[in-house]
Amino acid sequence: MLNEWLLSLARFLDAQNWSTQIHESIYLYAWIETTHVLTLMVFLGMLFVIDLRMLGLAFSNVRASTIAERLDKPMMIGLVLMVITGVLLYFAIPVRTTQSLWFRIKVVLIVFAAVNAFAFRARMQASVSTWDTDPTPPRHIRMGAAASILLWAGVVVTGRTIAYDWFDCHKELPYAIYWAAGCVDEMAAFASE
Amino acid sequence: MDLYPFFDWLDTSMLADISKAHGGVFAVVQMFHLLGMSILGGMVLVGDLRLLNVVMRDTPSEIVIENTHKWFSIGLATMIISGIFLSSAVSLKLYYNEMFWAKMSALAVGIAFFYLVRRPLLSVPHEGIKPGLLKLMALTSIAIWFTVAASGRWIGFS
Amino acid sequence: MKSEAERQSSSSHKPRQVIATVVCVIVLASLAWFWSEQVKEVIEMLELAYGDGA
Repeated sequence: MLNEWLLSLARFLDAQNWSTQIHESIYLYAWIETTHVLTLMVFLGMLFVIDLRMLGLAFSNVRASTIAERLDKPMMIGLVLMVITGVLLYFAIPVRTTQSLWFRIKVVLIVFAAVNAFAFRARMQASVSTWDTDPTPPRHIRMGAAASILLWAGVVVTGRTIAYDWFDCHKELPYAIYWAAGCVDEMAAFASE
Repeated sequence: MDLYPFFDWLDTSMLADISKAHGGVFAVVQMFHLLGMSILGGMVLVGDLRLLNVVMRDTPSEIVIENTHKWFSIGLATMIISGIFLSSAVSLKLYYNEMFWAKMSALAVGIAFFYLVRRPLLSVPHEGIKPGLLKLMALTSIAIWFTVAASGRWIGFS
Repeated sequence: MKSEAERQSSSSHKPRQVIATVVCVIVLASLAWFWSEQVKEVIEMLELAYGDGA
């Protein structure tokens, strides 16, 4: 049901002029993609500085709250740029991306990473006054920071593998993969066999 | 100095056997390349934006800069090691790619600038350094690493 | 009051600052040249593709 709905939305977007224009332009798609990748240095860069501080591996002589608060704004600027360019990349190739297993895993990982970030913020705000100047924060904080790094690493690798066609719908794949990738037509063909 | 023999060797090396045959391994190594880039970029940006008085203004710039050095080197090492593996998949193509050499030149300039100019100069109290020079160095450093990353991405499109 | 050693280090630091300034200017000029060449190439490509009202 959801798969059908997502696919018809993707087909609608695919029929729009500007989707084709981004996709077929000489430079536009490459520039958007380059901006998306380079902004990793701003968004993930700031995130790494914060998480490494929370792991006790960097900036240990600077208050943890100072790092988290002062770098929040540049990190968010990076995030906004990544989301805008990411949405544009999706709009340029909507159908294939919607039916990409990797893209779907990536979106799920981003949701997990966001949940982890909010939980981390809450735990940090509740306890930071007791360990702010400690070189190594308490274990639950370190776990949260490690989870953040792992989840974002997963987002990066699944973002990269979207480009590979291993699990594209036109290939002969197990039913479970068709289902996970949302290959609606292939699933119907499978059922009628 | 012609580096062709190195690229020729890389093309037939064990690294190339793996990187050409296994797209999954290639993608994971590329993830490390991008994570290394993020660490390096994060350390460069925090340090340089501090020198430009944009972030962390309440922390002395000496402390910010000093804290970025170790992870800059870790990020750089990660990128170089993963980068050699990635280039083994297309080494002969890279040898004839102008953008690749632009990136390598910018990288060499970046490494020399970091270890021979920026780090030694910033290892003394910053109040002894002209504020204009601090800002000039920050801009130069950001410009170099942006060029390395952008020309690197452009290799794939050219 | 600055100690003798400190004054020594800051005075030997002067030429280093001059060198750093020169290096920065050369590097920035080279990068500006590199990017202007890239922009020129892009403009040429776009003119080939979309120019002359063709």
